[in-house]
Amino acid sequence: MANLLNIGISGLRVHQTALTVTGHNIANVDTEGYSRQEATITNNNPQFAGGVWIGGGAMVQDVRRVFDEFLVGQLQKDTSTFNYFETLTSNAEQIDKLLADPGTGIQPGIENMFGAFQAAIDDPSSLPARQVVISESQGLVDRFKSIQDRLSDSNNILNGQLGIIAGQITTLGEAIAELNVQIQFATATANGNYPNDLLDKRDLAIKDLAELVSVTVATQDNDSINVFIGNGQPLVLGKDFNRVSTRAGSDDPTRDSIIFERDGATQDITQQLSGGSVGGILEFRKQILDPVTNQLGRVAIALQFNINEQHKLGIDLNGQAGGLYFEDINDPKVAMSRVVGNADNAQPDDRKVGVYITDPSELTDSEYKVEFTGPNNYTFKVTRVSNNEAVLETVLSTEFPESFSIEGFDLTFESGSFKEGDQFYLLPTRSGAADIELDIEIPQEIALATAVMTDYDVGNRGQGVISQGAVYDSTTEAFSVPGALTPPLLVKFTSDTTYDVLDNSDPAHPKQLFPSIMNQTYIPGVVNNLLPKDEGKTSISSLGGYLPANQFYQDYNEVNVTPGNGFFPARLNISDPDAITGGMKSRGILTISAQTSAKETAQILSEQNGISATAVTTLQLTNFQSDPDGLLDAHLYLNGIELTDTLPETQVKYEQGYPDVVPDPVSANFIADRINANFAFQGMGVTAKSDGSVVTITAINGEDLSLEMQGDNEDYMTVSNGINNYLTSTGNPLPKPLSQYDGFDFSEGGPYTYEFNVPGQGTFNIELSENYATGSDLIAGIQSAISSTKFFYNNDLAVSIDAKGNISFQNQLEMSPYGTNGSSKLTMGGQVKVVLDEGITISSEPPFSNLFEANPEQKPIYLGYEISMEGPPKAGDQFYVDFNDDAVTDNRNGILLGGIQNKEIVEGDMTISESYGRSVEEVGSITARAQINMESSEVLLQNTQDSVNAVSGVNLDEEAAKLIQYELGYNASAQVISVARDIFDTLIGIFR
Amino acid sequence: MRISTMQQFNTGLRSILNNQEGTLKTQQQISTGRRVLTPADDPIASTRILQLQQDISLRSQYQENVTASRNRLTLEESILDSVNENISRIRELTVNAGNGSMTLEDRTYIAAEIGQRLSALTDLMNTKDASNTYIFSGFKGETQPFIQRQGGGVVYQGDDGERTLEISNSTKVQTNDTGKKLFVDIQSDQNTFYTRENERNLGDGFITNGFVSDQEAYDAFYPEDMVVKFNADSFISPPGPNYSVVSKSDNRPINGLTGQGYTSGTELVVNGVNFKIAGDPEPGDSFFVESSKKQSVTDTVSGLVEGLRSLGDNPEQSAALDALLETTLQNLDFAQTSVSEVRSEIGGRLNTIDNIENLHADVELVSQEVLSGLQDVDFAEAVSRLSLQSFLLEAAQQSFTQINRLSLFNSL
Repeated sequence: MANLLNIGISGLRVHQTALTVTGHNIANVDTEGYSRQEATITNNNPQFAGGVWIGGGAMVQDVRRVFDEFLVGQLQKDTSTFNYFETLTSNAEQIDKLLADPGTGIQPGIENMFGAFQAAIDDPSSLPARQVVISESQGLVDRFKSIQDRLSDSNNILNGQLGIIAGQITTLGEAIAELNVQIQFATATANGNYPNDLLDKRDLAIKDLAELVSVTVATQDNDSINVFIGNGQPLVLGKDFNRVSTRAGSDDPTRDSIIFERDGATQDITQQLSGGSVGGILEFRKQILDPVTNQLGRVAIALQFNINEQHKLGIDLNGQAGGLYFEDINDPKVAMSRVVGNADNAQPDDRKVGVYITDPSELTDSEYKVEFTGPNNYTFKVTRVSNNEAVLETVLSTEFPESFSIEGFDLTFESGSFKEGDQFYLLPTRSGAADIELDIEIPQEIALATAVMTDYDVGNRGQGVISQGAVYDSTTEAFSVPGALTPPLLVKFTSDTTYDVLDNSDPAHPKQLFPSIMNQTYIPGVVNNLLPKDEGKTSISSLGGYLPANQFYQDYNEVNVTPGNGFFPARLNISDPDAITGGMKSRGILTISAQTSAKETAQILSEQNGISATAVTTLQLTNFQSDPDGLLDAHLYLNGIELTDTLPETQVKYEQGYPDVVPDPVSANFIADRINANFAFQGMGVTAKSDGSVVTITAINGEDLSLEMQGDNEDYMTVSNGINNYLTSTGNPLPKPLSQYDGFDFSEGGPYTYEFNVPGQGTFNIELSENYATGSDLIAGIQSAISSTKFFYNNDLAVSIDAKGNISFQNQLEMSPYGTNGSSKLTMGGQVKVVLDEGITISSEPPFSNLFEANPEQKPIYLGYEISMEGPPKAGDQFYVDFNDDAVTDNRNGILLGGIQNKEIVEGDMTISESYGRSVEEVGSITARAQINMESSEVLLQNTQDSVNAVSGVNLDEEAAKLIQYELGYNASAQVISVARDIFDTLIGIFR
Repeated sequence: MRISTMQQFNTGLRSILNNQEGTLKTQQQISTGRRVLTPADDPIASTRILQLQQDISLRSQYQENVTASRNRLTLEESILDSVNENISRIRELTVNAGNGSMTLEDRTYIAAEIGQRLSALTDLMNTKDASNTYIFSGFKGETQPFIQRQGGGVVYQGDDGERTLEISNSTKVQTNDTGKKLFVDIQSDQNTFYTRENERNLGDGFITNGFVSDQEAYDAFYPEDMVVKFNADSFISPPGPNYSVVSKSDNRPINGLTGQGYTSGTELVVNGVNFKIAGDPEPGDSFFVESSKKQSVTDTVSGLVEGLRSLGDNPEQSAALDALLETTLQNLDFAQTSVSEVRSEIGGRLNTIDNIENLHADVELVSQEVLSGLQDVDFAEAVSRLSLQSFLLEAAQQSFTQINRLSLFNSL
C-alpha cells in the first residue's frame, strides 16, 4: 500500500520537476545562448514482493540540455567569419563612398585646377584668370587634405576600436576562466551532474569572443576549457586568463598593435590574429587604409613634383624665374618625417635618416623596412613591406650623409650611431596628401611663359624656320642671371648646310662659346637640333697655341728645317666611374709626345671610348713694318706656300680677283685675301679674316701653322696665338669706361685693383695707383703692372683697351728676318677641344705643361634649353636666341603645366587621374568582394544558427504540449495518491 | 525538422529586413537616377564611369579653348580684312598718282590721303583684344608692336612669339600671328636694308631708317651687313667721339671709314645707302645696317609719301617718280600677298577648329551615351523591380503576423 502512495508521490515529484523544466524553457525562450533542457525521467527500481517484481514509481534521473557540440563549434567559427567580413565591409564602404563622392573626391579638384590652367593659358596676361588658378589649386590641396583627414580619422577610430576590443577580449577571457571555476565546482558538488545554465553561459561567452577574434577551444578533462587566440596564445587556461591590450605600433606608431601579456612579458600578436572584428579591422588597414593613404599620397607627390619642376622652368609675368608652385616635396623636415625609427632601437636616439623623393613615377604604394642585420653596425637591408621582397642589401660607409637610391626615392643617412638591430620604417608616400601645400600666393608669379625666345633676322634669305625654344633645366649657367640668358646666342649659317653658334653678348662682336659650337652640320629637310643635347657631356680644352720665346732663325746655307710647335709631352689620365666601387677607375696613361699637332692629339683622344675631340689652330699677325730702304723684299710663307709672290696673269694658284699687287709693307687685308683666294689653303681648311689691322689665320682641322719670313732685319711683324686675357675689376669702378679717357689718374678714388686668369698658371692681381697723363702712358703703366706679377710669359705683352674700356693683354712675338737671305720661322700649334661622355674625367701630368692644365675644369656642354630648326637656310642667315623679355602673353610653359594632367607620371603609365581612379576601383572591388563575402558568410552563420536553434532552441508549442502532458501526469499522480488514500480509508473503515 | 520559436521569429524578421534593404536600394537608385551608387556596386563600371567623366570634362575644357581660339582668329581675320582694304585704297591712290597729268601739288593731296591711310593702317596694326593686349606683338602682349621711331619711320617692337592653344589631345592651334611676319617680313622688289641699334648700347644715340640712294652701288654690296662702331675716344687724335664703319662678317673697315669724327646727325652715305646717326652714343656702342630683301609695309608707304611730296615735275624727277611708283606697287602687292597668305592660314586654322569641335561633339555624345548606359538606372526596370520588392515585403510582413499568431497557448 505504502508503495502506491510512494509511487504516486514519485509521480508528483517527477512531473513537478518536468513542469519546472518546461517552465524554465518557456521563461528562457528568448534568452540568447540558452539551450532547452529536458528532464530525463526513469522508473525506479522494482521491489520483489509477493513473488513478483513491483515497480517503484518514477524519478528524475537528470536534467540535461539539448545541444550539439559540433554545431556549437561551427557557430563560433561562422560567427568569427561573419564578423570579420562585416567589420571589413562597413569600414570599406565608408572609404568607398568617400573616394567616389563628387563632393569629397580628388577627381573634381583635379579637373577644376587644370580647367583654370587652360583659361589662364588662353589669356596669360589676365590676373583674374591667374587668380582662379591659384584658388582652384588651393581647392585641390584642400580636397587632398580633407580626404587625408578622413583617412587618418578612420585610423584613429580603428585604433580606439582595437583598444576597446582588446579590453573586451580580456573581460571575456576573465569571465570564461571564472565560469570554468564555477562549472568545475558545481559539477563536483552535483556528483557529476552538469550545471546546464553555466555551460550555456560559457558557450555564449566563447561565441561573444569569437565575434571579436578567431578562437580555438580545447576541453580539459576536468570540465573546464582552454581558449587560444592567434598562433596558440592561451587566453584562458582553466581558471587562469591572460590580458590583451593595445599600444602604438613599433614600426609605425600611428597604427596600434595588439599586445598579449603573459607572466609580465608582452608579445605583439597583431600579425597573428585573424577573424572576428579584430581580423576585419586589421584586414581593412592592410588592404584599404594603408594602400589608399599611400596611393593618395603618391598622387599628391607626383602632382606636386611635376608641377613644381615644370613651373621652375618657366618665367612669370614679371620675367622672373618660376619659383615653387607647391611646397618642396623634399623639405628636410618632411623628408625626415617619412622615416620612423623603431621604438626598440638602441639608445641614444640620435640617428637622422631622411627619405628624399627623386622620381615620383617610380614610387610604389608600399612601405619599406630598413634593418641593420649585423653582424656589424653597418650592414643593412631594405625590404619592400607589401611583398616582403629585399630591394637593397649593402653596407654603410663612415661618411655622412650617405644616400642610397631605392624605388623612386633616396634613403639618406644623415648622422647618428647606427647599431646592429636598428630598424627604421620608411613611409615615402604615407603623408603625401597631408603634406601638400600651395607655395604660390601672387597671381603674377605663375610661370606661364618660357625663359628663352628666338628671333630670325628679317634679312635672312633662306627659308629656315627656327623653333621658339624649350627649357629643360633652369639650373644651368645659361639661367644663372635673373631676367637674362647668359650668354644670348647667335646662330649664324656659314654655308647652306653649316652653322656656328656664337655668344651674342655683344651683337657687334659675336664670339665663340666655351665649349664652342662651331661648324655644325645642318641637314635641310629634317628637324635639326641646333644645341647640344642633355647627355651629361662635359668639355675641356687645351691651353692653345704656344708662342715660343724666340723665333727660329735659319741661315740661307743651312738645311731647311721646320721648327716644332713647342708643345710639351703630356701623360693624360682618363677615368671612368666604377659601378661596383662607386669610385673612379683609370683607363691607364695616354701619352702625347712632345710637338704633337693639335690635330693628332684630337685624333688620339677621339679613339678613346666616350671621347670626341676637335682641334683648331689660330695665328694672328699684325703690326706689319717694312724697311723703307731695304735691300731685300719681304717674303712671307705659310705652310711653305708663298703669300707674297707676283704671278703672271696665267697663274693657277689663286682664285680670280685675288690681290695681285703686293703692298709694301704687306697688310692684314692683303694676307687675308691671298689666303682665302688660294686653292691650296682652301683644300687644307685654312682661312683668314682681317679687321684691317690684324689678320687671324685659322686652320679648322688643328694642323700646325708654320710661318716663314724673309727679308731685311727692319722688316717685321708681330705674331700671337690669338688668345686675349681680360682683366676684371676687383676694386672701385671707374667713373666712366676707360675708353672715354685719354690717360687716367689712378691715384685718386682708388684702390683700383684688377685680377686676371692665366690658364695653367692661376689668377693674378694688380693694382693701378699712378697718374697716367696720356693714353700711351696708360698702356705702358698697365703693361708694367701686369709684367711685374709672377706669371710666366715669353716675349712682349701687348695691352689694349677696347671701345668699352675693357683691358686685355696678349702675348706677342716680334718676328724679323734679321739676316741676309736667311729666314725666321715659327710654328703655331692649335687648341684641342675635348668632349667627354657623362662621368668621364681627365687629368694631365706633369703639372705646368703648356698643353693641358693638370686638372682642367670640365664644363657641362648642355645649355639647359633646346632649339630646333627646319627648312633650308642660306649662308649668312642669322637667328637669335635670347631671354624672353616682356613676354606677358607667352603661354608655352602654361601649356606644358596644363599638359601634366594628361602626362603619365604615376608608375610610369598612369596619369594622376588614372592613378586616383585605380585607387577608387581597387577600393570598390575590395568593398564589393567584402560585401559578397559578408552576405555569404551571413547565410552560413544563419544556417548554422538555425541548426543550433533547431536542436537547442525552445519551441513554445512543444513546451505547451509538454505542459499539458506533464500536467496530466501530475493530475494522474495526484489521483494515484487519492486512490491510495481511498484504499487506506476503506481499510480503516473496516475496523470502525 | 524541429523548428524553435526563436528561429521562427528570426526567419520571418530576416525576410522582412532583407526585403526592406532591397526596396530602399531600389528607391535610392530611382531617386538619384543612378544605377551605380558607390564604386562597390559595380567596380568595373565605376572605373569606366570615372574615365568617361574625366574624358567629358577634358573635352569641355578643350571646348572652351576651341571657343577662345575661334574668337581670337575671327578678330584677327576681321582686322586683316580692314588692313587689306586700306592697302587696296593706297594702291589705287598710287595708281592715280602715276597719272601723267598730275602736278606736284595734286600729288601732295594724294600724299596727304595716303598719309592718313598709313596712320589708319598703323592703328590697325596696333589693335588690342578684349583683354587689352596687342594682338600683333607676339609674346610681348603689353608692348605696342609698331611705334614711331626717332628720326622717322615705324619700327616693330614685338617678338616672334606664336601662341598656341591645345584644342584636343593632339592638336594645337596657333592663335596669333606676329606683326613682324605680317607687316615687316614682306618681300621687296629691290635689295634693301633695315637699321637697328645694338640693344646693349650704353649711350642714347639712334640711327634713322635710312634709304637706298644708289640701288646699283648697294646691289653690288648686298648681302653684306654693315656695323657702325663707336671707338674709344683716344682712337683718334685729338681724342674725341669717333666711329668706324665695318662689314659685319669680318670687321674689316668699309671704304676706309675708320676713326671718323662724329657729330650728332651726321648723314652717312656708304655703298649707296643713306642714313643718319644722331644723339649721344658712347664708345663701344654700335649700330647695324642689315641687308635685307624685305621691306615693311609702313616703310614702303612712307617712302611713297616722301616721294610724292618731294619729286617735282621735271623729266629727271618724274622718271624717279615712275620708278618709285612701280616699286611701290610691286611692294604693295607683296604686302597684300603676305596678309592674304596669313588670312588663308587663319582660314585653315578655323577649319581645323571646326573639325575638332565636331569631333569633340561626336565623341562627347558617344561618351555621354556610354556613361548613361553604365551609370544611369533603367527606370522601367527599376520601378517594376520596386513594385515586386514592395509586394514581397508586404507578403513577408503578412505571413509573419499570420504565422506567429498561431500558438498552442492560445488554446490552453
